[in-house]
Amino acid sequence: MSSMISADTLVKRYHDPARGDLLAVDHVSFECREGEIFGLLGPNGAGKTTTLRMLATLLKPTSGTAVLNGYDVIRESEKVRASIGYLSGDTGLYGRLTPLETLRYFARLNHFPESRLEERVNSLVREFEIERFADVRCEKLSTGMKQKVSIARAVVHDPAILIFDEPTSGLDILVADTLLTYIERCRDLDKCIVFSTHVMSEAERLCDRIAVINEGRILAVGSLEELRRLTGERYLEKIFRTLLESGSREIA
Amino acid sequence: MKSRDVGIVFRKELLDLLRDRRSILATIVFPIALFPLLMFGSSRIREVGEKNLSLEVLAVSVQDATEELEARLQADRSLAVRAVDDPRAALSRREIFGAVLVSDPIPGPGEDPAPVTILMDDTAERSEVAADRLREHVESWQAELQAARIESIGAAEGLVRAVEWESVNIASEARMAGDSLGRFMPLLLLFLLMNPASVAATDLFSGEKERKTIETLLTSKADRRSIVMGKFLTVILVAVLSTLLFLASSLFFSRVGAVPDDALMATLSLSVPSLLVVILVSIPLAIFLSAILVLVAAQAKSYKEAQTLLLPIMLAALLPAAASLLPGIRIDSIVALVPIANTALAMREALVGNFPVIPLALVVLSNALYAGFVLTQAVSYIESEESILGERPPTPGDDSAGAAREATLYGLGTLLVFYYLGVRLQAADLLSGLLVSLWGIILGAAILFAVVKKIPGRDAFALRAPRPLALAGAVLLALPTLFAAHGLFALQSLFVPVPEQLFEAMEKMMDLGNGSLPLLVFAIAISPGICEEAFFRGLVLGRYREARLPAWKAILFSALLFGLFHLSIYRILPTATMGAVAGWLTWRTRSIFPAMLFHTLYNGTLVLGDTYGFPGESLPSSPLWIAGLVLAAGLGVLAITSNGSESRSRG
Amino acid sequence: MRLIGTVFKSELRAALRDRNTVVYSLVIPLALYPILFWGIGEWFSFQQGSLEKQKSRVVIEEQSLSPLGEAIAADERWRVVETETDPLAAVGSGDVDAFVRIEAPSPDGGTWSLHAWFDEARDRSRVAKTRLGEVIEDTERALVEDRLLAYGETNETFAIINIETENIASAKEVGQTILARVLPMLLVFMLSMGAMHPAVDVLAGEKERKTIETILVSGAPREAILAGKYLLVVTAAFAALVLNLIGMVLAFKHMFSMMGDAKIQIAIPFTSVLSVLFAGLLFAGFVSAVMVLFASFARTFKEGQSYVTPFYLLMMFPTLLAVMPGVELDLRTAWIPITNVALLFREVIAGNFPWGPIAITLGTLVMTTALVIAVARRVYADEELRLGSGGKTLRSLPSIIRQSRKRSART
Repeated sequence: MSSMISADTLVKRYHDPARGDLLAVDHVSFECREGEIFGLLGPNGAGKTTTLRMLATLLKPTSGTAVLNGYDVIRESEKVRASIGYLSGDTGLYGRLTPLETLRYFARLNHFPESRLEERVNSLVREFEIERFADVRCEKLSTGMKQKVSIARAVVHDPAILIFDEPTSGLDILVADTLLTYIERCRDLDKCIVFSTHVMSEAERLCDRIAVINEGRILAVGSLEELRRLTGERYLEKIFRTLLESGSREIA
Repeated sequence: MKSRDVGIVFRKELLDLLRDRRSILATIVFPIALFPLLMFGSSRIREVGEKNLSLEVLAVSVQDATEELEARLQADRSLAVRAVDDPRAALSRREIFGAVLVSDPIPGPGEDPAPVTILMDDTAERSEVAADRLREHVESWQAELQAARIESIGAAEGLVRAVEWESVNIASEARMAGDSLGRFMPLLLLFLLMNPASVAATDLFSGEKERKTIETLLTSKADRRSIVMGKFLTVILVAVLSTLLFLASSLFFSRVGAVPDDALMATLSLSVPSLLVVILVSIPLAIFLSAILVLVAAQAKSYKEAQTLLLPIMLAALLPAAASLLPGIRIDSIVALVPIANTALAMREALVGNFPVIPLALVVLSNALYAGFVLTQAVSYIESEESILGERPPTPGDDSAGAAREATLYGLGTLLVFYYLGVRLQAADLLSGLLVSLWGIILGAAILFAVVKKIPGRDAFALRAPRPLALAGAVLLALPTLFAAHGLFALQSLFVPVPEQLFEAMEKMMDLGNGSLPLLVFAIAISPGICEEAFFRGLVLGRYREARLPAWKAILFSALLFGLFHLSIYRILPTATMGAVAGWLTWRTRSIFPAMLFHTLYNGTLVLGDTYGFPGESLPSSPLWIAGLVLAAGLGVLAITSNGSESRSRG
Repeated sequence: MRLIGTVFKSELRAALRDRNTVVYSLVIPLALYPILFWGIGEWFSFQQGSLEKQKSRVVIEEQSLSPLGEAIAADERWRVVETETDPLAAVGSGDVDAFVRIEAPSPDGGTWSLHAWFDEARDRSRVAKTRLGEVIEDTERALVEDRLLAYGETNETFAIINIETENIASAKEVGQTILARVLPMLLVFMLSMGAMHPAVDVLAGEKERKTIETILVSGAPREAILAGKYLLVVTAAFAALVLNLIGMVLAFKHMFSMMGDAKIQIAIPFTSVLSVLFAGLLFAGFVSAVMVLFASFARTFKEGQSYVTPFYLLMMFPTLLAVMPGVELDLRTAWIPITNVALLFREVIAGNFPWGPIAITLGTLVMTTALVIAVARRVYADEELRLGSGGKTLRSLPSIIRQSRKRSART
């Protein structure tokens, strides 16, 4: 099985007058296959969001590149975008559109075939239990309802690759569980999923492989078992801490 | 860019906007309601005002008036004549609103005329009306007296009427109404165009970032250009829609005559060709302004920020449209290229029913060009990375740009002080005012900056000993620059005629010394040479250099600032030319002294030329003169540049 | 009271650090007016320059050379042109500014009669009309002089009276009148504009930034918080009034001193300034109260703006009413809110103090302010609105008042 995502020495550099050059992402490489959930685990400011934004073609890498679904993020960004769904924890909705309108809009923008559009939208509405408020303007919805619509919107065009940037931050427990269950189902449908989080339990529950990232660099990559072996620790929290400490000693 | 994607974005944004109360108000309700409201309001105001003033019985005192005059005033029923002891006091107490004083008896033939004084109080509106009526009565009385005098010398009555003339206005009432309407219509139209466009631009661009919806949108398959264009089209559509609705409502209400008793409305018939031309010129303008508003709104991360940025832009855009309010400015091929002002004037012409084909075509064409230019700029800016996520990664050079901005702002602030204080001082007394402005305000401001910022004087004002060759170069350049600036001024006045006033003001300057030449030279040549150079070339240019501005920018900006200080649009070009040469001198030699010498000589030549009839008035025409000037200029440049490279190698 | 002071101080500090506040309250009054006036002055002189230089093009039709035709031809402001087409059509198309037909008088020395056609929808043609009037007046005087010579008389014969107009108002008073006509409307608008932004920011903006909870749990009574915020808005509005007053007067002073007209001197007496400031402070209290009331219904900055802006626009009508000719501050107009304040400004700046109407104006101002504040307190007592959760909008205002009245009746 070929890899759907292949990040090759991605670098993102910012200039800051006070601190000089800042390496937000420092030579990050990893791969992710179909039917795999790949987790990026790291503290705030580790470079997770910047990495995912580069994969989603929102930012241009300073150097290095990534290939998604066989397309290069720099040269074929449009084709890359056609293959991905992107969701981050703080995405908002258009307040004056209804959930149905929102879903249709994004399906069309992603060139989802018009003939199957209604069928797809309806199945998502059922799946995320949006029926009750499908025709209410988004500004009138509660936080949980909005979150469901947000998720449905990210996957409405049935993309082969899903990029989730801390999707559960700010979700209530039930919605978070719906999302995580959905992500598991996506794996069964052979999607390729990249997932960033700083919640250990989520990573443990979902991820086939985990990359621990800090200060823009990947400290270690592997399945939970491999990471346990590498560090000699059992719990992910401990593994994480050990890696951060050894990372600062330039071991990884 | 795919038209299908553009269409998808466009349809969604339109639906979204149409559900927003504020957009509906700005785009639909306001444009439709404005014209009838204004017309109704203005006719009511005029009506009430006229009624108030015309029905008023104005108390008038006739002091020592002759019987004939008094009888006339008594006969006027809008006046109540009353006798008072002290008319001036009564007038200031508002007991009466006017008075006629005839102190002497009517003189016989050969005697001096008798004074008749009409008293009024300029601070009371009614007094102005009363004075007008009193004057009418006194004049008709005067005519009667003159007729009697003619009879007494045995001449025919028509003797004093040697010419009789009648003027016919061939403009129809509709065109006259169009003329007055055409003055304020462009301003209204511009406002109605920008108001909904700014609401939409804020919502579609800044709002997308504030709501955090931008990421999902940009990770969709639709390419960025299509998304930007779809949004753009929406903004343009609301601008155009609001304009069209306003015009349609104006047409409807002026035809239906919602205000039947209004003379202006009754005669106004907005003709279809006029409206078509108005639409034709306003659509490219709508695109142009939408693009500017979008470009600005895209820089903002939130509604609030967008509002702060947009309001000044909108106000600034309204200013050139005020051209249509001014009499005497007509659209010609040059004005037709000035954005916004051209459209305002074209609309005015069209509303009067004039259709000058070439200027109109130029207006449409230049507007379309500007629109295209700003549109591509806006699209490429919005496509750029920093604008997308609303996070602007700081770029190198930010802090040094801040230093340059600081110097410019300080210069403008000093200009404000100079404007308020210096100009008033000079109006009070030219000589002392000029000296105080130069040594106090301008040099004072320069020193203040250096002291507060703790910059050593040597660095702040480039107080470095120049090489003799640099001084020689400054001397050589003075005269050629003077003639170049003079030539530019003459060239400019071919296009922009200079009012006599300006020459008078300059003449007054030359009479300064009260005949004392040394004083004149000190005030007009030496003082500016020292003070102005210290400020503009020493401080401002020095700060620019510190901020690593490229040479041409630093010299240009400091020269423009210098030109602005002369507070006259006519003098900006020549003074900025002089300032640019002085700036270049300082930039190359890194010393302020050559520029000071140059400035003193430049102004000094003007003074001497005026005193001794030096040929400063006219341009040098003989080839020898011109050859001499070119030679001097060449040598001067040579002297400076050779010096400049040496000083650089040293420093 | 100390709590109010604390809230006020922290809000003030935040406001002063906000670029908007600084731009609107400082830069506009102190820098915009001089730029605007300078611009107007330059435009004016530019236009004068271009009109002065433009010659009026005229087509003259006459049987023989007349003194009028000669005078026009000799005047350098005119250019006599010939047209191949109909001269009237040429006037209509703007190629020619005037068409003049001169008929000779009867041989016994009657009147020259002259017909002139203009297109008064065109500026140049209007200028030509004025110029023609001047030429005719000069020529007529010369002709009459000639005729009088035949009787051994001169023009002096008809100088029987000299009509003079004497203005009893001093240069200062005229200046005050000018200010009194222009300032009130601007002061009302600028004061309200000064209140608008802070009102929306401290009430709606706080909810949007989610900082409101922290303040509400800080232990300070909500009344103190509301009072502190209200005081800030009043301060901003009053500051806008003061700065605009200074800016406008300075700019006017400057403009008129530039024009060099000795008959006008721009200055306001100290008592007038004090009165404007006093009435302005009360008015700032009123405007701020209304804006705070409206803004407290909004959950976001944008919403707040859409509540406050209509009020601001509505205020334009009573203000415009005040500048209509013939409307003065009297015992009737003193009862109309906002209009009365604008009229009061006008009277006071002009140096008049009609005490009765002034008392009514200030009285109604204080009463309405108290009323609005009372309503605002009730609204602020509403939990949902205070936190910006829930879906209450401006429409729920009546029900909120009713509820709170019930609540207060129970306790």
